[in-house]
Amino acid sequence: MSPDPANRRSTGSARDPGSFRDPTSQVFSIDGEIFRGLDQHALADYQAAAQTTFFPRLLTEGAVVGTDLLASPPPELSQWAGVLRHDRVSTITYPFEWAFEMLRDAALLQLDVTAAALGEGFITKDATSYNVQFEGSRPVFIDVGSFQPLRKGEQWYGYRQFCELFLNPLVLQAVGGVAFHPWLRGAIDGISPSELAPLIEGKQRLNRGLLVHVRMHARAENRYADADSERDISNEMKQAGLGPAVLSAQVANLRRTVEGLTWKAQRSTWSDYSDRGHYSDNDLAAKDRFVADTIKAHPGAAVLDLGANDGRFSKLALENGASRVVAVDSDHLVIDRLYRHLRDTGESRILPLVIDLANPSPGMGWRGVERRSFTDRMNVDIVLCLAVVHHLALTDTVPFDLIVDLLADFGSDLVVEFPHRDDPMAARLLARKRSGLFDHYDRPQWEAALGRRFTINATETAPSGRRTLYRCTPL
Amino acid sequence: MFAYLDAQTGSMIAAALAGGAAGIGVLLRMYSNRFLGIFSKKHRERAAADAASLMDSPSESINS
Repeated sequence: MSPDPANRRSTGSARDPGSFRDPTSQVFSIDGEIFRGLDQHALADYQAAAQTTFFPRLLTEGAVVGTDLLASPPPELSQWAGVLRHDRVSTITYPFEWAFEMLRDAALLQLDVTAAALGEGFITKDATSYNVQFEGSRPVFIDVGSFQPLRKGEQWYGYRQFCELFLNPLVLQAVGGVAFHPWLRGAIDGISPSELAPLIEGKQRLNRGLLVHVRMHARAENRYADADSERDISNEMKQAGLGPAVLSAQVANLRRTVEGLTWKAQRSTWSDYSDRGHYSDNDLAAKDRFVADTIKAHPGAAVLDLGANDGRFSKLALENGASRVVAVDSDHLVIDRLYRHLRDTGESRILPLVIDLANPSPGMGWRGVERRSFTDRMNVDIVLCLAVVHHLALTDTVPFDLIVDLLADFGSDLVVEFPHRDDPMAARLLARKRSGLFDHYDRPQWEAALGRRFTINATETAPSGRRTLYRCTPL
Repeated sequence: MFAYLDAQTGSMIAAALAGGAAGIGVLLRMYSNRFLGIFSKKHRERAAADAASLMDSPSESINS
């Protein structure tokens, strides 16, 4: 949520580039603090919500981001009727970077927040998965501007958005067996019911939740595609008695449908990596020590663990004084398992993300800045890049200097591991290559590339002599 | 004041269907109101007045 220079130029303010769709309530980042400007209607809605019992309760529980109405707002925001200050979320992430179970928990949070609001005559006027963030492994609802009193006969305007950005990606993964990440990343408004409906086949066609929210939704969408101009359905429904009881039943029905969705994948390329059978005990102990010593020298550091797998080194970082860790891996299943483990053990300082380093999230949406790139959002002190370089260099065939450029993009201290040609994992990857094509994969050329962007402060070769660890600071 | 999102008819129908017996009751009443509305000037005028109040604008007759 840091200010974007391009946005400053065009608006003369520090409006968050992802906050412009709701004209009544918009987010700003000023001097590292997060503010929300409210127009007179949104301010009245906020003040009404603050008088309820559900809103303070959600704040106390941490389900909604910490929020205060400011008596003296920053002068830059003087044009707004009211200004809120929000607690800053450590790392902004997007739903196409979450594991299945994270998106599912975020969906349940959105529904619980909406149900709580409905219980006291309020509604959430939208329901996008971008309105939920993860503080470590804990989902938090951040769109405080979404709450408004429910008017007589009004529908839940967020229903369609909920289906497109929460439910349908979950159905795609759980029922279709198709990863939701590429589709959600490519479609900022999510997956429509008519796009998803053809994937519901066999006995899944009998699933009541999918029948209503996907298949009948798609059919109604097609049937009434041109009806909006002919009839005022919204008003006709009001006449027919639409009210909070129907909306509460809708939300409860959605909750049952989401709860019924599970992703049953058991095995993936990296899901059995955690036994680390290819490491000798001595090598692993030396690596642990090297990482621990680095973290101990930076108490309270924020750490980015690239290729985190089961989170072994993320947890080691916390044990040695790190304040929080972003743990990324390209393997969806290992991140899903890591998230479940963190949630079930109550460890909320690790944020697991599904990220392919060879193709990290780009800037996207309006002017390419509405959703910011992965590297742009990582505000960390130390990057751990352990057992990753050989995959980037040999599987993804990325030259050493470009790998080092990626590591330098984070602008942080670095601990990086280089497996030599005779390391069993590197040797296995090299064995697939045509002879002579990867002769440049050696330690001197790696160190030359590393030295171009980093100062190497410490080097340690594992007892087996097959891997070397480097402790570096950016030039 | 309305939400900034546009409501889509198909989604409204699906949402009502998801609203259990109460939601289906709304749809049945809506369709019966439509049927009656064909014949009844009173129904048309009441619907127009309600639409106007929901839009926060002065009431206008549907025949004007």
